[in-house]
Amino acid sequence: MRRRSLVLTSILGAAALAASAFVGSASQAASGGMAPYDPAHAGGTIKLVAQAAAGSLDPKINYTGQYWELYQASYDGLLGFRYGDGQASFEIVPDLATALPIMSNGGKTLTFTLRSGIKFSNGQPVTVADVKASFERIFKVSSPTAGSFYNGIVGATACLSKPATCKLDQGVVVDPKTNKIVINLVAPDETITSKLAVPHAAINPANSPSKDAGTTPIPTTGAYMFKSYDPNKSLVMVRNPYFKEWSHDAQPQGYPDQIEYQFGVTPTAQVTAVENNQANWVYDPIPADRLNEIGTKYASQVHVNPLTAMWYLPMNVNIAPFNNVKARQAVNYAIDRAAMVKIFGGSQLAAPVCSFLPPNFPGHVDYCGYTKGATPDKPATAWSAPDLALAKQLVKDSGTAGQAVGIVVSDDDVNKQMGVYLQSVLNSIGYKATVKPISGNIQFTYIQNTKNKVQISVTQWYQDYPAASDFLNVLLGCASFTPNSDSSINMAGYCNKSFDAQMAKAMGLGITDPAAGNKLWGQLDQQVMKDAPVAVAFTPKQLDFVSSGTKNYHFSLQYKMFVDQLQTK
Amino acid sequence: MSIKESSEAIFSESPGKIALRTLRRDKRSIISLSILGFIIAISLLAPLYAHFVAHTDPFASSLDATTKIGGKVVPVLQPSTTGLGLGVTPIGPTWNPSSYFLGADGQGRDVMARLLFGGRNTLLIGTLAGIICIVLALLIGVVAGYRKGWVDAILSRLLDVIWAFPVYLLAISLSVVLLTSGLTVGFVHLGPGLLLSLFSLLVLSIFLTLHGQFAHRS
Repeated sequence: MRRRSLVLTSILGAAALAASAFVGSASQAASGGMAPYDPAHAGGTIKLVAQAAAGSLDPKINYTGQYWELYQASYDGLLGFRYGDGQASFEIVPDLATALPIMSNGGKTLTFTLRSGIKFSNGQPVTVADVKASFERIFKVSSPTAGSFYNGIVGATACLSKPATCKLDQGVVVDPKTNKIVINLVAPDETITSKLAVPHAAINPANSPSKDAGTTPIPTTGAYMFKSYDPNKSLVMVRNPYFKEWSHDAQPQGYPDQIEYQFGVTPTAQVTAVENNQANWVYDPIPADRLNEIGTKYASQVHVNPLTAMWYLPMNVNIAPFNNVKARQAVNYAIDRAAMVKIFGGSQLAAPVCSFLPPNFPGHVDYCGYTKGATPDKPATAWSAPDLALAKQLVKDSGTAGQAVGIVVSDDDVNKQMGVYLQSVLNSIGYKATVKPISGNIQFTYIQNTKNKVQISVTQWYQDYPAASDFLNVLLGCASFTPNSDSSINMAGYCNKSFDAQMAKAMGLGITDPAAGNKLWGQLDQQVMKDAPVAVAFTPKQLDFVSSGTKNYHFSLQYKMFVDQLQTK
Repeated sequence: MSIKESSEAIFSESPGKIALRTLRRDKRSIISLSILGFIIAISLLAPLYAHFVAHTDPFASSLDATTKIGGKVVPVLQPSTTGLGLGVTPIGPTWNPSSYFLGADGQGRDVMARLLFGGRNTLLIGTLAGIICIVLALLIGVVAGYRKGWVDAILSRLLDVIWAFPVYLLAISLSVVLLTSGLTVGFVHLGPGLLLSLFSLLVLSIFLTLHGQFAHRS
């Protein structure tokens, strides 16, 4: 997912992942869970500021951290990620389901019981029919993860080929009398509980539209509902009048009465607003020239958390010049990752990388095939410096020198600076590059759609769940490439059937032999980067800058800051 | 010399000479002209300054660049060493023409060199805008003056309407209308394409008027 965050301070073995995914221990809850709700701090308005909105508000469509951060306080799935700091926020906990699923049939059948008495924010009761309809809606609206997360549900293949008539009668079996829900998979999936806990698997009313709801809010189940949404102006969340806390771990009561997201505020104005207590929090990356100021004068209001994420440059492998592997490799050799780290804010906030799987992530191997003195076949252990001479030679050999290249970036300060830097690099290796900044409200979906003929872009990826498949399979799998669609998260358009088959093997190994699975993912990382469909630049840290009047800051490994837990009283 | 002879001498001068003489007597104009001339000169010399003095390419990012200040080699983008150590700050003016005279920008580029290149663009835009204005004004003025009657009336009223708006407000409004979604007045919506067509028609009408005049005269 774009712009999401996670603290992962140690390599997570698959066994540990499985344990955290399926069982949350009481001791972990005590150490990392939220403190009991204190009504004395309730009330007030939390004001968030951003340069742009994040597109559709539909939880089945939106794939941005900007809104997933809000969805955790508004939408619920059968399962959810725990509200808590540190490792606790990695735990999968029952949300609308009464308990974690009973696994049977060799891991291919998951049985849930839906909680009774929960209502949507429009007063409609939540039923098992809503659950089934919600899973079918994933395919009907062509959710970006329909083909990569939920393609293992029985009947999903037919739904992917004919979304409009999707029926999951065999895949999601419900019983209104007992509130039982049985999800049948075609094969065991080690990450299925994580996939059921993300917003794309949220339970929405069965009568939700069978297309992208766009700016029209869909009723919620959580502590907050969306009151209004104008992408050019603001988004307002208020308390859900029908919400009663059923699980403090999954969906606790929130503190503010209202959460307002104001759009159209430049990053530098956002910083000033927070300094002056006119806003509570800054969304966009803070411009490098304001970082020193907040790091010195407002240090107590700054929270820096490491992430498992990457800033990277997807290159469209289906159109010139990047339909030539040498051109893509040239970009990988040419970019100065240390320079890009400087633009992001310096070594305290990011580190250069060139592997696809981030450091400290399952399957990650320390390697870099695109640094001075290394090749993809003889990689170094880490990136050290760009190799412009080799990059120029590769461009010359590819026969693409002199071609025009458009770089599509978001129009916030940091992204634009990245674009300007990349333009300089591409010009220096023989292209005629131009920067095309567009609103962050549409950039993320714009660069996905093949109709827009985007050659190269600057974007980010933050984990959805801690498994290698969430990077490699989601971003480079054939199932994630949908031509002419805004929901085509494989922005490079890279589809390699052989690579897909090996990823399927790695996912299978994840169940039977997790260590071997992770080893294979590491090999696949190096293998795919020989084709260089993307250039990975650096792994960032999350910097949250809050106003002096903002209290009770908590950071989730999964969803970043808990907006609904912030206090102004 | 009699008054008559004197006035004859004055009237025998060309307008250019009169203008030059008047200009020479106006100190403020001379100073302004000198400053403008200096700006034009240094802007035109921007490539030479960048290459031979600053030794830099003002269009290339130089995030790893270094320079000498007080004999010490320092990075042009300096990492913060205070507080939380966040961010990098471009160096400020060094007042040394060969070493980031006015400092660096966020991409590590020489601000002075970029300023001079920017001056070239500004001068180019200003000059082109002036030439376009003169040509259009001459065209419209000649047509209005030559045809007189209803052509003169329409063109004059059109220009009256245009100049009734504050210039900058008009420019901003036109840019919004022409570059985005058009103009909506009540229930009437004029798209950018239609507005462009209307503008083209105006130009065409002037052309046809002129063409008709010349055809008539021949």
